[in-house]
Amino acid sequence: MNEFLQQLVNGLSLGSTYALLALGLAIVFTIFGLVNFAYGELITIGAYVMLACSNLGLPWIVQALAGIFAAAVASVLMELIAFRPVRHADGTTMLITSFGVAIAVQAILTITVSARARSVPQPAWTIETVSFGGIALPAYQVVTVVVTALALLTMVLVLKRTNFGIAMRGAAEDFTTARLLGVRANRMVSSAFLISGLLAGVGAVLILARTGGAVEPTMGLAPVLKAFVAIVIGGIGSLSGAVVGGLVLGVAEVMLRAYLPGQVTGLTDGILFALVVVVIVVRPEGVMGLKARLRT
Amino acid sequence: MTLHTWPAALRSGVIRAILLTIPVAVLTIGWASVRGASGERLAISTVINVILVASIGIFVGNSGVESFGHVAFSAIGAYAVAILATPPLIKQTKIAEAPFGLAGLQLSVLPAALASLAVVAVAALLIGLVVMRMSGITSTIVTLALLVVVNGIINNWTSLTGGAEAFYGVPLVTTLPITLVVMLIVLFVAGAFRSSPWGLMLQASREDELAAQTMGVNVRLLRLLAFVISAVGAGAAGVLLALLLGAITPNDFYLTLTFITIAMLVLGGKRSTTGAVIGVIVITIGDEIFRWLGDGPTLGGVTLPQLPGFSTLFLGVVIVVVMVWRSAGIMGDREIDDFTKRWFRSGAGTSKVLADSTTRSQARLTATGLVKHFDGVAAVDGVSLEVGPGEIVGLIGPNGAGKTTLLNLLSGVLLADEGTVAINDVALPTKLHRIARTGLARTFQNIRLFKELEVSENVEVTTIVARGSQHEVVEPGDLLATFALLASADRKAGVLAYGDQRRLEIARAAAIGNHFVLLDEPVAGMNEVESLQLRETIRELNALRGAGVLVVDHDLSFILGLCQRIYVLDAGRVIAVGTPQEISSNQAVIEAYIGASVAKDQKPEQHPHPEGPVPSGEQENS
Repeated sequence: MNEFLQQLVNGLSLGSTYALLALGLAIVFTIFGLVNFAYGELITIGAYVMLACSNLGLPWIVQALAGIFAAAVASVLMELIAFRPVRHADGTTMLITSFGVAIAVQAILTITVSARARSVPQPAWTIETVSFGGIALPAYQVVTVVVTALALLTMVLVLKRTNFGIAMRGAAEDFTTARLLGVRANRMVSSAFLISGLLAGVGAVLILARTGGAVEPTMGLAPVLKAFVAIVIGGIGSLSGAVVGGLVLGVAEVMLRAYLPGQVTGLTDGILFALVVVVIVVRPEGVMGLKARLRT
Repeated sequence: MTLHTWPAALRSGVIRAILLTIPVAVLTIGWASVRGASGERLAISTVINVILVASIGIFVGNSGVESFGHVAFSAIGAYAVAILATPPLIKQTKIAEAPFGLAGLQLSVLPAALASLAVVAVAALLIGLVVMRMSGITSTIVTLALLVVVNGIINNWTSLTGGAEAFYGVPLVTTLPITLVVMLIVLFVAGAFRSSPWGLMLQASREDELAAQTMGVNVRLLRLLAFVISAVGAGAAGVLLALLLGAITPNDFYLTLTFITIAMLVLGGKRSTTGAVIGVIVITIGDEIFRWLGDGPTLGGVTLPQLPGFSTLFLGVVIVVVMVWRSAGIMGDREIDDFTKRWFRSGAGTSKVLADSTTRSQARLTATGLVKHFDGVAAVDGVSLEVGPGEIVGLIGPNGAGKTTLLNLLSGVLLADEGTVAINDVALPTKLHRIARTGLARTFQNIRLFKELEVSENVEVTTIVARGSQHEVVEPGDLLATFALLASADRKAGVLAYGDQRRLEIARAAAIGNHFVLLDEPVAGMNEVESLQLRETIRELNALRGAGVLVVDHDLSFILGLCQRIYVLDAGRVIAVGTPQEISSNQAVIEAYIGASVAKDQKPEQHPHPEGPVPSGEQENS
């Protein structure tokens, strides 16, 4: 029972990271119509900036803030440089553009740093455990859940309570109408990318705490793929769906890893994706998705 | 115009494959003979890349669904041939524990290669069956997941694949001539598919999936077909690569290969087989140059720094620049053999305006008790209606009355919560693409043409479908002549003037709708002259095939002047049915729709008039 609870917390911690990342992807998708493959590279950029700060001997909290800030700035810049010119193109064109951006960022990091993995030393607390009623839990998992919950809560408050957030949700529902009602398009798009980048940056900090600080140019692929799958589970275009999808995915992944027989644990992702495909086939519009208005 | 028949498709496949193979063969054989063994290796891998990219294009280019996962099929092909064709002596040291006794199996290379392609085909069929059920953007994400999963399986199923370490000892049999022959075959298949009826129908679904389905295109089946064909091509590239390298690792078929093939595909143009070849050659040259620069060469006495990843940066930048500058790639829709088209040009001169049909349709469309709710609101609330054989029926009502929803129910685009739609008492099929084959077609309020296809191709999509389901099939050229579109036959549908687009959409529906054509607000946004012309077009349509017509509009004068019988819809219910005279004097209609003071002055004989019905509010103020 204890083990199960530990796995559950582990799953929630991983799932909340996925939820955070999926939300960042979903915000950009709903406003801009872009499935942003380069989102993984925002995580990578955040991680590399943490590496640089760590090499400068800066304290961990400064590394973390710098990483988050860098991911947010990189996200806004990506939109300005690469995505704005294809804003009115079809979804596939935007998708491939972001794919190109992802490759370019990976290459730049390979050139300027190294193709090989580097390590960012993590603070001691990340490997400590905390006890709750006799259950020992790794500290990073508890921190992850708390940080994600705070980040999501902030997002909800901003989206529901501030004028800016309401404008943003309006833009997510119908961008054209929102513009006609006086929402400034460029600012809205930049804000969406900014928030998306902030979430990626927070994700980077949490991922490093989980993995012990390993960074490499292709490190963004695995988490971005999970975030994609999460928004597919939750229903593309739904913000709350993205969060639910992320949590479901994280718990499922940890449970599979924990309870699958030893020789097939290497295939966890394969089995996980197969399960997701079954979910999509049964419910093509996603768990929380809008009901499809037209049969296509 | 060029028709998409199978003989024509095979012919253009042959011509295109030969015209493309000649320059590739000259370039690669030349390079191999100048640069020796290392040149030959580059030449062969370039040709393999043409095979891979042209294969991916068969699916991506025709269906419009992006795939980042086709390299997974190369991986499957490569590992299958490695496992089957490597001598057992080597396999005993590497994968002695392989399941199914594969470690002891000895196949010669050709049967092993063919068996590997069969493995790829089965894998693609199983994966495709699932993936094609999803929408475009979801299936793209799933293809990327596929790549990651296949890579994970190869890395982890150590007893079968040897895991992350190199699988060595694969027979080295790939030569430049063999590769060129395989390329010729793949280019032929790609070219023939693109010009075939199947290719055209799949391209139609790329332009507008819903419209293609309502015109009778079985989108899912065609996508699956293209997916399997293109996967087998990608598998062939993997087989050849394994037999070239002799030692393979899972990462030979992973991100690097995916990146480079996508850059090649988008640069040349996804929709063009010629583009695939151009993309491969340009990217290969660029990649070699940047690789050389990245290795830190000495130029004019200055040694440049080593920049690993420089060629990857080049690929990324190429992709972004192409997407921003010209997302259709260098070639767009063009092909190397386009100039031969005029030799085979069919029929513009012989197309004739069709005479009115002497046979009238005997079909009766009956809707009974249709109900459709959206989030609890009943948009259509118990509607029954009928369109008799060859009858022109109008459906009017104020905005929000449920007209378009009703039309979507009748055409099967929406499924009713309650009630039935039947033709001659036979319920409509539930599969959307089957409905058109019953002879019922429609147009859309917001015009849904296949914009990037030519005008003639728009009509041809439905004549192809009709050929499979009807006795009397009209020729695309004759239809265009009848609807006065022949002069624009070779232009892209998206560039036509608004009125012509409406007419084309009706012509497209007419090709398949020999029993019924449903028109959704055909005169929306038209002035009186255009609307008069369109009324004649609809009468022609009705006379042409003897088909019943249901016209939805809220332009009362247009409907009163055109229809024999009119249904009036308000708040999801039929409030009146009758002849134009009856409707224009019906008290309920006047109150719900026209406004009392207008109806007094307007008689149906006066319609259509420059001054149509005036909205009630304005009339009262005057």
